[in-house]
Amino acid sequence: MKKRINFHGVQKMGDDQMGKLKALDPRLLSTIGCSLFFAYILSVLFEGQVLYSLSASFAVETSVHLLIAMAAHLLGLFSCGHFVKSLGAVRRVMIVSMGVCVLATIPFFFGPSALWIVGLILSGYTSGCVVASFGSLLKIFTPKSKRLKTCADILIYSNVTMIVVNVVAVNVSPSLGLVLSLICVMLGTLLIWALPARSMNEEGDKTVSNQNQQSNINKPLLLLVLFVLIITINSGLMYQVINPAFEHLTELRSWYWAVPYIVALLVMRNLPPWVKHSSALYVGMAMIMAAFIGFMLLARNASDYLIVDTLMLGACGIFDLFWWSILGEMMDYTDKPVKVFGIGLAANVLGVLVGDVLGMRVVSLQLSRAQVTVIALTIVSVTVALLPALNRYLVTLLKGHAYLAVYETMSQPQQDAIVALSATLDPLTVREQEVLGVLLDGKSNRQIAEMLCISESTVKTHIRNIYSKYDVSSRAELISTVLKNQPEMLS
Amino acid sequence: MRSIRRRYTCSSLLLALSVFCTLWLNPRQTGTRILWSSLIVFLVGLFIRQSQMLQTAKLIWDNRVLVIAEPWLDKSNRSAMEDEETVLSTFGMLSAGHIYEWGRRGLWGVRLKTMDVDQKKMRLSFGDKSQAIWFEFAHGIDTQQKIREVTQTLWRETGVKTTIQDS
Repeated sequence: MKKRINFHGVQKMGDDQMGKLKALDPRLLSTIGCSLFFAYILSVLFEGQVLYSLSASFAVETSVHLLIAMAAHLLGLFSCGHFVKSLGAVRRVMIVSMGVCVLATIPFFFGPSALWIVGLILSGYTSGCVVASFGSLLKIFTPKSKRLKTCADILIYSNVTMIVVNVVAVNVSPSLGLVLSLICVMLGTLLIWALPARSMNEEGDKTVSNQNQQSNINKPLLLLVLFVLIITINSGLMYQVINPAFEHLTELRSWYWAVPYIVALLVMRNLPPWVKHSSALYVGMAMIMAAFIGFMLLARNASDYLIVDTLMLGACGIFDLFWWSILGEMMDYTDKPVKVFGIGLAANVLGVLVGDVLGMRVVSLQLSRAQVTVIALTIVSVTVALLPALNRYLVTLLKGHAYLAVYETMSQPQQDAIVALSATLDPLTVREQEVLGVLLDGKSNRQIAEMLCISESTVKTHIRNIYSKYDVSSRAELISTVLKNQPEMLS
Repeated sequence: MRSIRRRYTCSSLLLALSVFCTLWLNPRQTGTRILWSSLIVFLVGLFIRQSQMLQTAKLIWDNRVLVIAEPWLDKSNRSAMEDEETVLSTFGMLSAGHIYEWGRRGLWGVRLKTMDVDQKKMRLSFGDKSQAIWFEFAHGIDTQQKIREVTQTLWRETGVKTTIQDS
C-alpha cells in the first residue's frame, strides 16, 4: 500500500515537472533541446574529442570510423525529408532517433568491436534525421524576426556544451566525456518530448492546406547548397592544414578551439539592426586570409595558436551563422522544412568531407610548410572570393523568387490591390507605379528601361525613389514589403 | 548641356595633360613632386565632379518635359547665357550652364514642391525640408492645349499638380 502511494507520489511529481516544462516557451525548449543534441554530435560523431580520446585510450585508428559516421549522417540529413512529410511526425522521429543514438553509443564504453561501426552508422544516420527535423521546429516555433538569434543561440549553446564535454574527455576521462554527451542527448530528448504536440499537429495540417500557396524554391535551394558547400570546404581544409601543426598543444586546444567561434557568433547575434549582416562576410574573408598568412609567418607556440585559431574560427563563426540564418529564412518559403533544412545541412557535411579530403591530399604531398599554406590559401581565397556575389544573388533570388512566383499567377486587379495595400511614406507618382509594376514582374533594370522606353539610369533613379518611399534599401526588401499582403489577397 | 559637356571635356583633357607632363618631365625634387601630385589630385577631383555633373545633366535631358530656346529669367536678375536653352525635366532643370536637380534622392533629398503657370510664365519652387528656391521663367508655349500637356506630363512624372492661372 505504502509502495503504491509512493509510486503515485513520484508519478504526480513527474507529471508536475513535465507540466512545468510544457509551460515553457516552445522556442526555448526546442533551442535548448537541439543544442544539447548538437553538442553530442560535435563531441562524439563529428570528429569529436570524445571519440578521439576513446580511440587513443584503446589505441585504435578511428579515421575510417569517423568517415563512416559522417557519411551516415549525410545520408540521414538527405533522406529524412523524404519520409517525414507531416510536421506532426517530426516530434516522434526526433524522439525515436535520439533514443537510437543513446543505444548506439553504449558499445563505446566497451572495447573496440564491430559494434562500434554499427553504432556509428546508426547514430550517424539517426542524428542526421534529428538535425533535419529541427527545420520544422524552427519554422513552427520561431518567428521570422528571431530566426537569426535562434540559430546563433543553438550554435553557441551547443559549442559551449561541447567544450565542457571535450575538456572532461581530454583531461579527466574519455568515458566520463561519453557519459556527459549521453546525458546531453537524454536531456535533449526530454525537452523535445515536452514540446506542445498539439500545436505541431495543427501547424502540420495548416501547412498541408496551404500547399497551393507554396512556391517552387528549387533554384534558391540549389544556390544555397553551393553557397554552404563553398563555405564549409574551407572549414574542412583549414582543419586538416592548420590543426595538425598545433597538435602538441592538446590542453589548450581542448578548450580554446571553439571559443573564438562562440565569440564571433555572439557578436553577430548582437549586431545593431542598422548594420548589414552581409558586410560581415567581408570581415570573415579578411580574417581567413589573415589566419593563413599568420599561420605561414608565425611559429607553433601557444600565443601563435591563439592568434591563428582566433582568426580562423572567428571567420568560421561568421560564415556558419550566415548560412544558417539564410537556411532559417528559407523555411518561410517551403512546405517541406525537413527536406530543405536536411539538404542545406547535408551540403555542410559534404563540404566538410570534401575539405577534409583536399586538406589530407595537400598535407600528404609532403611539401614545405610555406608551400602547403600557399596552396591552401589560394584555394580558400578563390572559394571565399565567390561568396559575396553568390550571397547577393541568393538573397535576391530567395526573397524575390518565392513571392514573385505567386504574384505572377494573380489577375491584374489583384496585383493592383496588393500594391495599393502596401503603405508608403509618400504616395508614388504615376511613373513610379509603372516602374514598380514592371519590377514586381521580376524584370531587370534594362528590361524595365526597354519596356517603358526610358534610359537605364532613369529606371535606377525611379527605383531609388521607390525604395525611399517604402523605406527599404534593396530590391529583395522592396518585393517582400510590397507583397507581404499576398496571403490575405489570395484568401 | 553644351557648356556642361565642354567643362567635362576640358577637365578630362587637363587631367590627361597633367599626367602626361608629369611622366615626361619626371620631376626628381621632392617639392616639385608634391606640387605635381597635388595638381593631379586636384584635377582628378575636378574630373570626378564634372563627370557627375554630366551624368546628372544627361539624366535631366533624357527625361525632359519642356525645352525652351530662350534663357530663363530669375528674380535675382542673374545674367543668363544667351546660347543655352532651358530644359525642364522630371529630375531637375538645366539653364545657362547650371544644373538644378530634384527628385533624385527620394524622400530626403531636394524635391519639386509647387508649380504655377500662366499664359507667359512658369513659376516653380523646389527644395528640401529646410529651404525652398523659387524660379520664374517665360515658358514660350503659345497654346492652352500644350500647357495642359506639359502640366499633365509633369504630374505623371513628379506627382506635383500645376496650378494653371488664366491671366
